[in-house]
Amino acid sequence: MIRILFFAKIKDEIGKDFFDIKAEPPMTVSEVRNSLISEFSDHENILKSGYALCAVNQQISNEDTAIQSGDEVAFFPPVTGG
Amino acid sequence: MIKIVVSEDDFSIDAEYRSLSSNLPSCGAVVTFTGLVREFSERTGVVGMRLEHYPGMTEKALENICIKASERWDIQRGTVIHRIGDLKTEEQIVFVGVASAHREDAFEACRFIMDYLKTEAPFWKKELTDDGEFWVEAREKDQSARERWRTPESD
Repeated sequence: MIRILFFAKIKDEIGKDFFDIKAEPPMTVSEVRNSLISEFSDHENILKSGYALCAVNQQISNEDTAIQSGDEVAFFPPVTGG
Repeated sequence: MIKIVVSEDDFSIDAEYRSLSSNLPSCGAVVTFTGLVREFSERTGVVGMRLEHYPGMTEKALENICIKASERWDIQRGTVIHRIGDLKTEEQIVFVGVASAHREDAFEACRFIMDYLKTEAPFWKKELTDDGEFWVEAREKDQSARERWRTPESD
């Protein structure tokens, strides 16, 4: 199982602040993303690569980043602070 | 010495300036930037905004940005304050201050930190209007402001 945290617009539109993917790590960010898109297919536009950023252990990752058991994984929109 | 604050509380520019410059005889320049909440959307009836963030990652991201800046410029002290929660228009939202021996380092580092904060620190703005709440979308302009700092050695 991998727990995925959601923030901001993604959290609001999906209506959850986290979701547990029933798959065993290691997985890549790309695999996790595809799994989220098939789970929440109505929200592909805000989960797809090119929109949603993924952080692994609180660091922005890329699509090939490997996710290990116990890692903290989060998906969120491009940031708009400042 | 780097100070990072993520808080609902407002801040005093005067107090922050003093903590950057006091008891530092080798300091020759302090550059500070303060960002304010403004009505920046095309929507009317904006009453304020709500700042959401990713606790833990936010502080780490801000610290990393300051470390990157201190690797490029001579920084004696740096302060980054970012507010979260509900803010009204005209309120202070963000503060970046840099103390350095020389003004060029202070100017450049301050701008660098702000440009990176805009694209790397996990904060999200939601506009509160008379008609409801709307997430603010990221702007290409902020991405290009960050890109201009890229060097062959940087990430």
